[in-house]
Amino acid sequence: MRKIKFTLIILFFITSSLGFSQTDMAVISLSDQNMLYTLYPNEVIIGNNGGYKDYKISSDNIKITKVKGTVNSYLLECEIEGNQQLYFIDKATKDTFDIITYRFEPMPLPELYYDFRRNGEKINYSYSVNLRVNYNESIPLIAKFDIIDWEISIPESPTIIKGNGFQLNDSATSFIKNAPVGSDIIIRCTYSYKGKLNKTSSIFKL
Amino acid sequence: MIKVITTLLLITSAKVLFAQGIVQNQLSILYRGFENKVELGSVNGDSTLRLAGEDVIIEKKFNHWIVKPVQGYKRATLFALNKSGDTLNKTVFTIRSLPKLTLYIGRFESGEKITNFQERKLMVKMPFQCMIQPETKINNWKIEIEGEELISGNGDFLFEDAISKLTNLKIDTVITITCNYSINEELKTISGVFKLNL
Repeated sequence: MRKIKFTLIILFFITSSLGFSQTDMAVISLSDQNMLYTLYPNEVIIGNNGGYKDYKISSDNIKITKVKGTVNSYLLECEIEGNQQLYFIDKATKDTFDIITYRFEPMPLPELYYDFRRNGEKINYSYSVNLRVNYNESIPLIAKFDIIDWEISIPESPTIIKGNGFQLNDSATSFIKNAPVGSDIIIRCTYSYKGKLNKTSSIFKL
Repeated sequence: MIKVITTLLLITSAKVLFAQGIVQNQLSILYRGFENKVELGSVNGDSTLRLAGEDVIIEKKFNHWIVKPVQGYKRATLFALNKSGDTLNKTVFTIRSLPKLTLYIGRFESGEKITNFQERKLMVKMPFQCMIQPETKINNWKIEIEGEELISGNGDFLFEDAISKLTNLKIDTVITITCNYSINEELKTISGVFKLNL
């Protein structure tokens, strides 16, 4: 009987310590950095240092979604620029034990690429060209942008070639083919992210 | 008995006073030459965690840590350790230089063309993409054209007289705005250059 009791106690300690290591994930916060991006699903890890084990986060204007398969990761999304509050609420007492203010700023402007050429780079004539709108490697955001429409021009000519979608049409490619070597090719486009439209542009050297 | 109750009350009030929600923003970065403030917490509210790191200098302050990246590195790793020394979080942070404070008129940043005066508030801040925005307060300002003072004022707002003088200027006129401002109780001066395109 004693042996069983002893085994049970040992088992309890092993399982509880395993449980501790699995669920008690720590959170490292650079607490002065309170900026998040509007529209973007900003991923955060939530915790506290006050011994609260059963608590929730809530907000008036931030959409909060728990990341599946994680203990305490959440996506914070907000459409409104400016300050928004995130409340930490103890589930048992309903007390708010902390409020963190976040500053929501618009997402940075992505770059317009001519195939894989960046703003300021040299390009050659090609009969088939895809335009892309992406972030360069210095911006740590992962976002998919859709190109709605575009227009191409050169400073020396009043002609503007327009089109829709991400692919340049025949008029655009022949416009580039006939442009003088060394011309600045200006491409502007309207892109969409989560249904919101915005504009970006790039200049390429022919 | 009273001693026990007092101790319990002290523990409870300390918990209420110091309990903080801790959020790790996955976009956070460590700024070079800056005292990055780090706080630790855990899902279960552990308050006994400690911070360790690679390629950083760490200094403990009251209930947080100051982390300074070591020169020459592009990334640094921070670890949150429990009492037993187990690592409960290991995160690699990108290191960047802290941008300079810049003068803004509403949304127009120094160096830009001003196309309207819908927003007339002067602000000294980091570029909006910067994760940190220190608190600053503009005390007074003056507007100059080629070194000649056009108008000056107190506070952080371009008043009506200034706007009417500016809107009467020729297109492409370059104006310099100089502001005295306070940051961390220190007085400083900043200038911004704007081209008018009204």
